[in-house]
Amino acid sequence: MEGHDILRGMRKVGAPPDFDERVFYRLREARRERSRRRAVLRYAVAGSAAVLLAAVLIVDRIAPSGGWLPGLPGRDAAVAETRPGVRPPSSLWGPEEAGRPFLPVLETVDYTDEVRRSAPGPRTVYILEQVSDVRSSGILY
Amino acid sequence: MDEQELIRRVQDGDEWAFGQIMALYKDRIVNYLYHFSGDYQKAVELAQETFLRVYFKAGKYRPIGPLSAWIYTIASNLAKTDARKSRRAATVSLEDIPNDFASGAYYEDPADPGLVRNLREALDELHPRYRIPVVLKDVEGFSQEEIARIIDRPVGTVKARISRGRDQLKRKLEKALDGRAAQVESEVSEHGRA
Repeated sequence: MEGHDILRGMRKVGAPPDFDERVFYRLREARRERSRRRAVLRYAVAGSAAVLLAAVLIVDRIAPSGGWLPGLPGRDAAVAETRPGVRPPSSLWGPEEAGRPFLPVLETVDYTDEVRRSAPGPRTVYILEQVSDVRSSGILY
Repeated sequence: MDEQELIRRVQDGDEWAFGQIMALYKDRIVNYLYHFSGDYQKAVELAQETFLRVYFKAGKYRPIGPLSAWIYTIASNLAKTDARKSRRAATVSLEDIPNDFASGAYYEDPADPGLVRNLREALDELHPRYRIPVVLKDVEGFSQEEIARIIDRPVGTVKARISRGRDQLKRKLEKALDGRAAQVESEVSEHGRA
């Protein structure tokens, strides 16, 4: 007799009478466990986000290059807002920065759109030529 | 209410529909897992796990195939994983595995005598790769196409595995029967001498 013929005649078994109850019991347990896990995960995510935010803020405050977060002015931001080349008032400096070298921040400003032409005639074009071999040392304000 | 409607309701969390599906399949799944594992308690446990997965993974079911194939797929995957774990445990201690071939538990079952018992043992020795298609085909009566869907393999592979599985079973059975015949002969000769 072939093996697969006997296999067909093998004793059939069924589920025990309390099978359904046990499955539903496990189902309830699994649901409870899932909701518990979900709650833990929610708190973990919220906690991690809070810790991460706190870490970013702390690093931002102690970073040597100053703050990089938008809306959070760093140590040098006040300097950049002042006139270039002029040392900002000492009130903006903390006691620890007093001995440090001052780095002026220079900005190029284009006023061409700010000036209205008063002469009604054609526009004059000036051609500027360098007449001296001595190199200009720049304009001092 | 047909099976597709039931599973659709299970997807919405309907426990009554889940109970209906369980009522339809629990005996078949327990029987399948019993013939796969050879251990009734383990089969019941795996069947419970199968239905839990049916409930929680119902959203992943797509009605491209019959529901039975999907449920048998879950059961087969669980059985394979369990068999892998059992093999690892067997390397530690064969005696620790309840109702295993080596523990002799089958010999205590009066409803499972002789040839069927040998077949049970031979089936247990078969690799799950062959045991699953053989049990699905010869115990559960699935077609080769259905088995291909359940184990997610081409029909040609299923055919080959069933064929190889049956050959291995046959060889193991013949070996067991030869052993038994030799034992009977020696017993007869001993009785003759006495």
